[in-house]
Formats: sequence, structure tokens, C-alpha cells
Amino acid sequence: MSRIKAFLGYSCAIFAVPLVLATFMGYELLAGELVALTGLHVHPIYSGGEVAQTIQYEHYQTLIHRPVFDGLLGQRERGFIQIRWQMTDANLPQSLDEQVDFDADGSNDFRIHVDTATQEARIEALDRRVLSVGQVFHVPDGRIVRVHLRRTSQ
Amino acid sequence: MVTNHDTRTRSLPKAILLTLPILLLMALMVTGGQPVPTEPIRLIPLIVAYVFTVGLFFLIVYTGRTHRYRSVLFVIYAVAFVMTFIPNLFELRGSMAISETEMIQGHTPFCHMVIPMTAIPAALSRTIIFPGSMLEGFAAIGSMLVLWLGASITLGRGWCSWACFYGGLDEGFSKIGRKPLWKNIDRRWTYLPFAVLLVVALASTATLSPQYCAWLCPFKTVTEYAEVTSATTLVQAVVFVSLFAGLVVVLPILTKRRTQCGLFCPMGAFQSFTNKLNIFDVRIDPDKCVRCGKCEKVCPTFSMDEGSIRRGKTRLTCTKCGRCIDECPKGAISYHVKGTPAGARPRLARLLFVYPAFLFLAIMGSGMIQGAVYRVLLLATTGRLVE
Amino acid sequence: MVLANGFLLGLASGGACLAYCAPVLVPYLLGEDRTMRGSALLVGSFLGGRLVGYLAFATMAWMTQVALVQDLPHRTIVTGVITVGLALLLIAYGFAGPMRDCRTSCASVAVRRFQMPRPRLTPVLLGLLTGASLCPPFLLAFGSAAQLPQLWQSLLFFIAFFLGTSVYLLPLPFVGLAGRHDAIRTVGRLAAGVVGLFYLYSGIMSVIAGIQ
Repeated sequence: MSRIKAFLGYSCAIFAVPLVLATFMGYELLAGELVALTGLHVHPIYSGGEVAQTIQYEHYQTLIHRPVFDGLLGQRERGFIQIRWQMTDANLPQSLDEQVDFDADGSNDFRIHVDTATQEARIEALDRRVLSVGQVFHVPDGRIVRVHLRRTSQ
Repeated sequence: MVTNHDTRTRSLPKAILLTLPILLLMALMVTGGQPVPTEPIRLIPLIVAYVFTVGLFFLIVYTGRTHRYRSVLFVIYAVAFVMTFIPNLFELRGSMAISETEMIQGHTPFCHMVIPMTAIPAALSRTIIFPGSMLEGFAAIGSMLVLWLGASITLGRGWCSWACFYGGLDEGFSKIGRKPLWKNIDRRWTYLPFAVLLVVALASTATLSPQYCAWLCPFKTVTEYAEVTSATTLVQAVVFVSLFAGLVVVLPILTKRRTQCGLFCPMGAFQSFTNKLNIFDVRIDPDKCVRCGKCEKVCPTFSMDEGSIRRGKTRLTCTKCGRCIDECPKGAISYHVKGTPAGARPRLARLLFVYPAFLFLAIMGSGMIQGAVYRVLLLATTGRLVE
Repeated sequence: MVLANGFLLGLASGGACLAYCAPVLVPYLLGEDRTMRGSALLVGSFLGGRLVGYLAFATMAWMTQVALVQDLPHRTIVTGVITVGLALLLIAYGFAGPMRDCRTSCASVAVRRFQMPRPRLTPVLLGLLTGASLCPPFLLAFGSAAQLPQLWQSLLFFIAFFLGTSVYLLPLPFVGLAGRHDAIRTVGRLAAGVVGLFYLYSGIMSVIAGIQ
């Protein structure tokens, strides 16, 4: 028994060097495998959630993400919806306007206006669950904004 | 000076032979499999990094002293990391501070210190509570997780002395001065890293935000930090700079121990549990040990005490740095492969550990050293640290 | 009806209550060497203190007729001061208490001199201060209770609310079993101190916000 344990111990120890090499040589490939196997992903409160709707305009497109109320396991009372305006072949116009129906009930829930020169955003809430708009983030290919929401109407 | 007769390779040809695998592997890893660059500003750093790392390994094998030469590489690696990382940040975004704009795009580099805070949410909901990217960009989450997993399986908490690019700063400052000015540290503080781990892990889970990064990580002082735009971020900045000054600079100088690593770091506490899985540990031969207590006095991370010495092994927090092994006057302490008899074939056990451990350190370190030497040459030739 | 409404509100808010109480109660339970029965008594004491805090505010709600809740700056100052009190208690418990796992030679003179006695009042005080720190579910209940016409109805509502939220805290005595190990006990106490430091910052910022 002690011989078997020693054999196993030395075998594992010898395996350490190939493991180190495999770690460094293959970490990008292994990272992809790890992510695919585990389903790990960045939490939506950081990633903004999946894109639910894409609206094409002449020189840009608007990406409207799904509402994010994700907590650890359930849903939080407060959340947001992320909107991204992305240039396609020209600069963004100075004025961006969007009407958003985030709960897909057929009626718009808010209107948002962004001034791309001053990086200011204004919101007109059409639903009681719409709370406020955050700052405008000026990213290399456009603008990102998060509109703060409440999950329930009370 | 203590010479470790048990593990010293007495023959020069034999030491060279044992160094040969590292010579070959490092030649592959230091170039990344690419052709050797010809322009001097790229070639010189590569040669320096290669010769330096291989030379140190030779000395480890030939002299039988692990800690002395590991420490040199470990400290230089940490300094080189800072010298590489900060200019890189200035090239990318013109500042060490990371803005919310960068975070919302998922551009925050993933640091291993975040791992303990992301563990519970990742286990419960398969989400990573960090504003980074899973597979894209510099220090993507997936890549860093793979590196960490590889190191944890191979080294356990040896990560803290053979892989962590922050630990060398702590260790470097602990080398300043000849004698410790503050010797008696209440042993209960050695449990503080676990307490910090418990609190930040639960707080991060509750708030879905990495709380150690936000509030406590001292190493933001030499890497990157959230832009100071409010009273809260200002307080956070004061806290992390103070912790760096206290735990990474002042206390290591006073105590000649790694106080950040041994008395505060929750990542270190987290890694301690991986020592249970790792195949290597450090053992004390009771037949040789004379209970002089020197190992307890010199251990940088407080991983030796009366109880552990009596049991013939280190505490769970051992980082396998090799210092106690080098300093033991009776050669009673050695690296050990689990499953084998304690004290049996210490030279073999040491080699089996040092090869993967040094390889990990050398691969990580050589990249940073190349980067640092490159920056120095850039400064010397152009007067600028950034491109 | 009052009982049912209070209890249901408590059940609905229990998760949030657990999130507010756990940072205080979990380190404390880990820091004590108790049997299952002992841990249950500690949790009971904590809940008792919390109930006293709730009932005190229930009485205030009825007497002031919601004035305290609507008057935001004062509420923030009160919350801040109570949180600072809780923080100081946690810091004292965590960093200045005796360390049974530590041999006498390793505890410093300063620590031995500044040892905090561990009276039975500690869990009650912790519960009282946690309950009185006006967590969001409590504020919700406070608003509902203040609208009831009679004091006894307010008190009954709060007792029912308290019972509803306490359901989520019932499994916590099992956490206390880990405190049988010396190392875990030390970690628990230090964790209480670390939580205290966070609360100290939070309390001070609340007081400053309230003053401004």
C-alpha cells in the first residue's frame, strides 16, 4: 500500500512540469474550453445583458439590451436597461432620439434624447417604472447609456 | 551561512545536466515560439531575461539553496511587473486610473486577487462579478482563471512565493535592514487573512461587487484604481494607499516578514486551501529536528509554530518559499511529495517541486523582466518610458 | 388581519433582513464556542434584542405619527449614530477580546490588558443595534405600522413582522457549531472586527450625509 501511494505521489509530481507547460502554452485555448464547459459569463450588471433589439439607421445602429434586474439568484427590485448607439460608417449625429418599449407590451415606456456633443442625456418617462438616466459614456464607436428602472410599479 | 548539504549538487557537470531542461524549455517559452527578434531594443531584454532566469536555476540546483535565488527572481519579477504595467496603462489610456467608460466596455484587466470574491456567485449562478471580458483583451477572465487553476494544482499556496506578481514587493521590502525591529507579533493576527476572506467573500456575494478590490487592495497603488470622482472613491484611495504604505512597505521593513501576504491577503488565505489538493508540501524530520525554533523565526508568512513543528509539518498557510529549508541548521526540513515517507529522498522531492515551481516563476517573470528592460532601454534611447 | 399583514410582510422581507443581520450574527456565532443549544440561545438573544429595537420604534411610530420616517435628514443621522455604536461594539468584540486558542505567551500585553468581558448582554446589544439601524424592510414595516390607529396594533404588527423575518434566521445556529474549533473562533472574532470597520465608515458617512 505504501508503495502504491509513493508511486502515485511521484507520478503526480512528475506530471507537474507538463501541466505548467500546458497552462502557459494553451491558456487561450483552455480558457475558451473552460468558458464553454462551465457556462461562465460576466454578470449582466457589468456586461449590460444581452442585446434584445437592434435598430438600423442610415449611419449607425441602436442596440437595446434586455432589462437587467438580475440579483445573485433571483431578481432585484432596481435595475437598468442599457442602450448603445454604434457608428457604422460615419460619425453619430449630434442628436440621438430613441423610444423604447422594454417590456414588449406594445407601448413605449420612455423616450431618451442624447446630445453627442455635450454628452448629456434627457429622459421622458412614460411608465412609472422608469426612474432616471445615468451618465453618457463616450466609447470609441459611439455612446452607451443606462436607464434606471424599477421592476414593479408600486 | 547554512549550506544545505542534503540537497546540494556536488558535481558541476551534474548541476549543468539538471539545468539543461530549464535551458531548453526557457528558450522556447521566452521567445513564445516566435523567431528571435533582431532589433537590439527587443533582443537585449530577451537575452537578459533568459540568461538571468537560467542562471538562477543553475544556482538553485548547484548550491542547494532554494529561497535565496527564488527570492531574487521573485522580487525582481514584482518590480518588473510594476515597471511594465504602469507605462502600458499610460500608453493605453493615458492614466493609471480606470474610468467607468473603460469598465462599461469590459476592459478592466482581471487580477487573480478577485478570484475569492467571485467564487460564490460563480458557483451559484455561473456569473463573474467583475467588469471584464471573458475571452478578449488583456488579462481576460478566462485566461487568468486557467493560469490560476494550473498554478493551484501544481503549486497550491506555492502561488504566493512562485507566481504572484505582488508578493515580491512585500518580500523585497522585508529584505531591507539586517535585523527585525519588531519581533513579537500576536499569533491571532495570522488568522486575519481568513477573516478578511470571509467578510469580503460574503460582502461581494451580497452586493455583487468585488469588495476587496473596491476597498482594501493595497496593490492598486502600483497598478490601477477607479478614478477619484467622489467622496467614496477618495476614501477608498486613502485606504489602499495607507494599506500599501503600512502592510507592504513599513511593516515588512520592521518585522522582516511578508506582512501583507501573511497577515492580510484574502487571496493567500484562499490559496491555503489549495495546499490540501497539491501534491507537494514541506515536512520536518523529527529525528533531526532539535527544536531550535529558527524556522519559526524566519518564516516570512508565519507558517511555522510550536504545534506545527511538533506535528512535523508546516501550517496550512505555507507558501513553499524554501526559507525554513535553507535556514534549518540540522537540515531537518525538506520538500516532500505526499504519499511518500516523510524525509525520504529529499533531494528528489526538492527537484520534483523546484522544476515546475521555478518554471512557473521564470515564465511569468521573464516576460515582465523583458518588459522592464525594454522600458529602461526605451528611456535611455528616447528619453521616454512610454511609446 | 394586522397579524397576518405583519407576518406576510416579514416573510417577504426576510431575505433582506438576513442580508442585514448575517454580517453581524455570523461572525459572532463563529467566534463563540457553543453547543447547538448554546448557539440557538445566542440567536434567540440576538432576536430578542432585535425585537426590543423593533418595538421601541413601533412605539415611536405610533407616537410621532410617521414624522421620523418622512424627515429624511434626522433619520439618516439616527441610523448613522446607531451604526457607529454597532461598529464600535463589533470592533471591541473582534479585536480586543481574549483569544482562548492563543497560548498566554503569544497574546500581547496590550491585548490582555484591554480584554473585553463577554457578558450575556453582547448578543442582545448586537440584536438591538442591528434592529434599530433601520434596514429597508424595517422602514417598510415602520411606515405600515405608523398608520395604524392604536398603539397595540402597531406593536402587534411589529411582533408579527419580526416573527416573519425571523424564519430566515432560524438555520443560523448551525453556523455556531463551527465555532467549536479554535481557529474558526479566532477567524470569527476577527471577522466581526472587520465588519465593524466597514460599519464604522458607513455610520460616519451617514451622519455626515444627514448633517449636510
